[in-house]
Formats: sequence, structure tokens, C-alpha cells
Amino acid sequence: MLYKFAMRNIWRNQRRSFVAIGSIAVGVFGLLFLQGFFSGLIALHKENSIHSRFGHGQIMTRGYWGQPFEKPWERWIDDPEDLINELRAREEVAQIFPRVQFFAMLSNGSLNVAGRGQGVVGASEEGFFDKMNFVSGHALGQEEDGLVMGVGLARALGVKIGDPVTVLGQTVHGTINAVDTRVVGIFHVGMKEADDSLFQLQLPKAQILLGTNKIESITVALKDESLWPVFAEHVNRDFPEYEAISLYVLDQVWAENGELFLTALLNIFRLVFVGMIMLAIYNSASNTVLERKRELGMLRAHGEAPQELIQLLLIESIMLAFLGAFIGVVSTYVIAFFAANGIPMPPTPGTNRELPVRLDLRWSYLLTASCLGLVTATAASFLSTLQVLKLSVVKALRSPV
Amino acid sequence: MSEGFLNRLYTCQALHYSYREKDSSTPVLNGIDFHISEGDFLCLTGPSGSGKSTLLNLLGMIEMPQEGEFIFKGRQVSELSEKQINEIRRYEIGFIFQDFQLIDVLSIEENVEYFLTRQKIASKERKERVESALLEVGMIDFRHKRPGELSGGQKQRAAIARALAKRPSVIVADEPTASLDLANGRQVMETLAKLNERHGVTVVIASHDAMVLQYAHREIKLLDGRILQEKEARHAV
Repeated sequence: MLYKFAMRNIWRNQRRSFVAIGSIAVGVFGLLFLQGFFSGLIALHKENSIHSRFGHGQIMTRGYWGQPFEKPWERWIDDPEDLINELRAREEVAQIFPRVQFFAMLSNGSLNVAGRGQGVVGASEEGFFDKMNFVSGHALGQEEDGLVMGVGLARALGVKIGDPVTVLGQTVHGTINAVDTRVVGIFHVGMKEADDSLFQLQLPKAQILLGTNKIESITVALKDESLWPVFAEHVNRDFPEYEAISLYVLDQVWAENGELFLTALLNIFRLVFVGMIMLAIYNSASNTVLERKRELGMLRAHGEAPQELIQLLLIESIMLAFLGAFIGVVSTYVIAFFAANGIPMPPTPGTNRELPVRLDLRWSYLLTASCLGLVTATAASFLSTLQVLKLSVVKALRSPV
Repeated sequence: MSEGFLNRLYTCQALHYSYREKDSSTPVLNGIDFHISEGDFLCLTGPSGSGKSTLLNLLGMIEMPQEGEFIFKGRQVSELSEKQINEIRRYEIGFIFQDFQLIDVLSIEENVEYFLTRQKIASKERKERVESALLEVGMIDFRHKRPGELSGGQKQRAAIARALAKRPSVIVADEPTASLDLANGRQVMETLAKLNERHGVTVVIASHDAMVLQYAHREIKLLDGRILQEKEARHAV
């Protein structure tokens, strides 16, 4: 009976109920959409980082990462074969990519431009690093003399596919060395810093340039990103001289800072939407109490305790909140369905590529948004109905409504 | 009708009540002494401002006297907690208002049943009580109608059924015929008189309407917050 009464009361003032439901629906939609959108944005950038540059993480000698060294190659991995084979045998591991990184000058014969080089095993990296987005040419593959470079670097150097480029660098012994290469691909990873400075050539060629057989790091591709903690624990336990560095450290700009920034932004939006729901429901519930003062007085006269009236009004608000939250959730999923190919977004700070963001909707987000909407609406309704406690039965019975 | 102490429902001695504002106090009841026995049919009369509605509110326990002794069924009301007073209103007192005060969004049947659900009465008994009350007031054929679809007299009879279904010790009615024409007013009073006669329900009415007196056993006439006259009423039924 109580629920029937509450339901009919909702129906009694349809316009007010519609506004209340609408406010909750918009609030829940906003909360869920934004969380899905930001999560999608983070996932997109993370995916981009994993498959264009960093893999799921990298292994280096302990204490090497993030420290400046006069002779960094002295801290590189010597005779890495055993380590590589052991890592390959791990069940979490999909692929292993040994690399060296160095600074060098690139010359087209008349112009020199500084860049950050990577020596990679082109044939094996081609399959995994599929987000390098070659704007012309192709990946390094098996081209022994090949070189691929970022679009900004290619523009600065004024080279195109097929052009010869000489890479000038310093060997580990301190002498100047050079290798001749040919541009086979120009890529666009989306990060301006990388596109303006990064180039790759085959690992053996880079080792010739550097005069060493060492490698700087081992980039790891796991079968699933979630396996990283298990894998890292294994490396840190079984190979104490090495250190497993996660993507969150390697790509701090996006994988960590971006996530923190967007989470902070999401919390600000949450406050806005929660405030909006709070005000709308408080206003709606207050009007309900005012407009039904005489009825509430009659119920009190018949022995209803104030808390029972609050219970009745809360049931109405909770019904409205459930309906509003449901509509908000459904609306978000409808938009996610129609935007299944992603919502086109301009480049985010520090990037130079438009990315279509897919809404990343998860059960936990749905629950968070719905619960926030429900709890806020219930709290606002509860606060507004507290005025029932001060209701004088006689005055309420005599009131015009 | 016995006047013995044992079947006394209300005992009121030296009741005082004032409407209090911030800086002022307007006395409304100035030392009221009377009692009401079970099965009584009492009519409070008097001009506007005489205090009859306030006295009715006290009897309905929706207001409390500021001074005096107010006893209901042998219990000092001033010593009862808010919760106990709510319980008395829920189980012992049936209210009838001048403007019916039915819940618009519920059918007549649901209006009657609503307070029974709040009394936590089992569904089967609830249905029986609702049907019996609606039969008693001649509203069984209108059970599925909403209040907005009924005439004033029908609404007031539905309100009586609502009060009756609670099986209260007393029905407190404030100007129950004021919004009705004479014919409907008589019908409502006849219904109340019948309930009083058949079921022994105590009825207390505050009214301006001379016709109401024809159904009451007793009249208490108030003037300026005092009892001017208390007498046996002319009995029409």
C-alpha cells in the first residue's frame, strides 16, 4: 500500500516528477558518460603507448632508469641471451624485444638534426608495435639498412622515403662513428616529443654504431596487461641485478600523470553533477512537502509518526531516483552504441593526433554513477523532508493546500 | 448510557489552552471541566472563537493543554510520550474533517485500508474491515472510485468509513456537515448516529449546525473558552 501510495504521488504531479527524474537522469548520465569517456581516453593513450613505444614494461639493470650517467653503456645488459631466454619461457610473456637507445645526429648530407635513436629488432617488433602509424613507407621489418623516423624529425631533416640518412654517433669507446641508412618509414605516434626526435634502426646496426654488443633494455609484451605485477615480481625476485619498470613509470606523462589529471577532473565533474542532483531533488522534495502539507497533517492526525511521513516521502524520492538513474544509464549506453567507433576528439595536451575515444563502460562505473545519483537524491530528499518534524498538525490541517 | 467512572473515556479538569506567539498569548480555553463516557454522542457548540475546535483538537490529541488534568482511558495524557500519543491517535481515535481530507490519489477502498496497513493488520482482516466499514456507511458500490469522482456527502461517508475501520474508541468530527447540503448533512449524521447506536462508538462533534444537535445525546455549549451550558440534547434518532 505504501509503495502504491508513493507511486501514485509521483504520478500526481507529473511535471515536478519529470523534472526530478530528468535531473537525476542527466546527473547519472553525466557521471557515467564522463567516467566512461575519461577511462576510454586513458585506455586509448595507454594502448597507444604500449603498441607504439614502451610495450607493457621494460627490464633494465637495477638503478639505471631515470638516472643520468656519464657512460650509460657501462650499466647496460651484457650477454643478454640467457636473460632473454628465461624471460621468454615465462607463461605471462608473449614477446621480448631487446633494444638500445642513444642520442645521435642525423645527416641528409647537407643538414644535421639531433635525434633520439633506438636500435630494435625490426622483424619481431613489427607485429606488436602496430600503433606507430606510418604516414609514409612502412615499418623497419627486415630491412638491414632501413631507418624509420618521426614525422617532425623527417620534416626538420627534409627527408622522404628512400632518402639516404647518415647516423652519426659516439661509440662506447669515445670515438665518433657513423652508419649509412635509408629512410623506409615515417611515423606519427601521437606524442609530439617522440615525433620530433625519435628514430629507429636495426639493433645490429645500432650496436655497430655504438661499438658494443650490449643492450640497454628488454621491452616486454605480455599476454595481458594485468599480468605485469606477477611478471615484475618474478623479475625482481629471480634477477635481483635487474629491474622491471612498468609502463606507468616509462610513460609518466600519460599513463600516470594523465590518469591522475583525468581522475581529478572527473572528481570535479562529479561534484558538479552531485550538486546539481542535490539542488534539484531538494527543491522537488521541498515543494512536495509544501504542496501536501494538509495531507501530511491529516496523516499525522491519524497517528502517523513524523519518521513514517519521512519514510513515505523517501520512498517516493527513491523511486524517482531509481527511475532517473535507469534512464541516465540507458541513455549512456545508447550513446555508447551509436558512438561505437569512437567520439572524435582534438589532440590532448602533449599529443598531436586526433583520437576517436570509445566509451569504456564498466559495471563498476555503472554502479558508482548510479549509487552516487541514488545516494545524493535520497540525502537531498531526506534533508528537505526533515521539515516534517517541525510540522504542527493543526497548522498543517488548516493550511490552504 | 452509564455515567460510571469505569467507562469514562475522557476526564478533563481545569483545562487551559492559549495560542502563543512570540510576545503574546491569546487564551482560548479557560478552565474547562467535563468528562466523556464510552458510547457518548457529544456535540460541542458555540459561536466562532468560542474554543470548540481547539477543545476538539485536544480531545483528538493533536494539541495538548498547557494546564489542567487531561485523562484518556485512565491515563494522564501529559505523562505520555510523543510515541504513545501517536499510538493512541493511530488505534483509538478516528478523525472526520470538514473538508473530508481523503487522499486524492487513492481509491475509496484504499483510503479506508491505508491506516489499517499502518496498524499492521493482516491482509485478510484488513479486507474484511474495509468491506464492513464501507457497507456500514453505504459506500460499498463506490469502493473503486477516487474521491474526486464523488459528491461531498459521499466523500464524508467515505471519511466516516475510514475512521470506523480503525475500530476506534472515539470518533472526533470537526464540522462534518459544514461542507454539505442539508440532505447530505442529515445522511452523514444518520450514519454517525447509527454507528454510535449499533457499535457503541463514542462520537464527539464540534459544529455550528443546529441539525447536528438532533442526533447528539449531549451538548456542551462554549463561550469565550468556558463551558456556558452542558445539557442533554434533543434526540432525533
